[in-house]
Amino acid sequence: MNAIESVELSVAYGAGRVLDRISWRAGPGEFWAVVGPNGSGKTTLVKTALGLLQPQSGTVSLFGVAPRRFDAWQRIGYLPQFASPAFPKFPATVSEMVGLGRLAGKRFPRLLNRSDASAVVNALGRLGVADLANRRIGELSGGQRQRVLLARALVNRPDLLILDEPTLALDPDSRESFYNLLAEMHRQGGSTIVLVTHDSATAGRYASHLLYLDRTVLFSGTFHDFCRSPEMAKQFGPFAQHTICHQHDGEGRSCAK
Amino acid sequence: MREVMEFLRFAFVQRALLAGVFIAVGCGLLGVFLVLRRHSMMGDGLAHFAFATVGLALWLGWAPLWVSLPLVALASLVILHLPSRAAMYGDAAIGMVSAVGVAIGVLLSSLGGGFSVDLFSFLFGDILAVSRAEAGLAVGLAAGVFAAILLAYHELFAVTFDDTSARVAGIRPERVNRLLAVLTALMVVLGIRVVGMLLVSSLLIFPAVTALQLCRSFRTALLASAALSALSVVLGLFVALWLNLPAGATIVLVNAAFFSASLLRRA
Repeated sequence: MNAIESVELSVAYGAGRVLDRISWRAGPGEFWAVVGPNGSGKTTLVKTALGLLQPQSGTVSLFGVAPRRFDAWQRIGYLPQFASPAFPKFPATVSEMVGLGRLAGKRFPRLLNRSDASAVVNALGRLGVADLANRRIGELSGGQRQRVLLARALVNRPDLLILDEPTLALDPDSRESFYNLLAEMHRQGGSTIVLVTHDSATAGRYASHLLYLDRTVLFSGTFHDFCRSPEMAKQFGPFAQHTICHQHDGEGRSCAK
Repeated sequence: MREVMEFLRFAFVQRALLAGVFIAVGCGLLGVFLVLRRHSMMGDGLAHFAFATVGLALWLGWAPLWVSLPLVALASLVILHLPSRAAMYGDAAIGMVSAVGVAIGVLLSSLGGGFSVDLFSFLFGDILAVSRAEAGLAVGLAAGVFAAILLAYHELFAVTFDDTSARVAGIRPERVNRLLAVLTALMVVLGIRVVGMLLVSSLLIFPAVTALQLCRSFRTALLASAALSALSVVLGLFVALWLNLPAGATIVLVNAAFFSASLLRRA
């Protein structure tokens, strides 16, 4: 079953249509990079898939269920574009914050137990930040913060991980380290990953599939197909295609050649 | 110390302490959520609205608490939903509800004539005049608020931290916000008896802000806020009795002293 599937999905803010008839599916174990220029609807697409925004027309589903009726939230890990605005002053330890991820799928009163505490320890250990467990979240560096937020998204070992511009506030070294971590986890885990990024060149190095948006779908498929498509070379220009595909091959060769 | 023990022999002091501590703990717990969600002034707005509900109760000759509890709870929901219904921010909604409350209170007091003195006594509170029934009700309602916070602790925490991520965990932030608003309304109405309408928001804000200066985790911040709030009521009450000062104002100044001390500790 597809992790996300949208059919003729349109979303509008007021009079302006942000997404226009998007049909797309992210299958099990696929690693998708969702790229496109600013305002192309990347974040809107994932927010609509998660039920945070309502579609104007068309449908979207999570594991075959409309977001409004979806209740298996423990299958989803989400790292939003902007962390909580309260982050720097918020009185919470890393453990407490990652523990919030375990509330997904629980019913009222959503009490956390020993297995939840152990899942938190495992998630922090997996991301190499176990030593931060008792640190106040406002004391973390940008790189540490993203790892901790990723730990929260991963604490349930989700089948679908959605990351919205996760490296926006990171320096190049932290960004590289974050992407390597993600690629490693994808190799080990097999969950579907949807990475929203404006950094299409770097995304090409790690993701297997590409969704190129500009309010509508410009390309949806594997990087392999994208790089070998003369239509895409015509659409984006050979330089843009080369920039993405250069990273994907990892050999400095442009796939378009 | 002997004088303090002497005060404790009086039934009205025992009632004031019992009701005051329960109300203070409830306000201390709720305050952390309100301050972190930047809804600190909601307590102030609701207290001002209570001026109208107390005025209405006195005008009708009914018990102010029973009239105020449902109406202030309703006002809290209006404050919560007005920004999404009309194009405005939350602080504007608080200001509007607050102003309407004061205006209605002033109108009723001018129409009613005879009860103005009673109405104005609610402005400054009188914890030492709490009756046995009022103390019982305050303890019961405050205990209900503790239970609600305990049961909804993780949902309140998640929504306070980040309501978008909370929604993706299957939590409905709008329900949690409604719960928080209604609980705040209950504590504001009860708190009016302790420190009065003009100062009740301090019971919600000061202990929370002081605890936030000192604590590293959410759980300890909640516990510290509740403890500081209770301590300020006990200390404020005894200082007021000892020096023959108004209890409500003394409690607020003790809270302010705790906050100043927390700043010194941070420095």
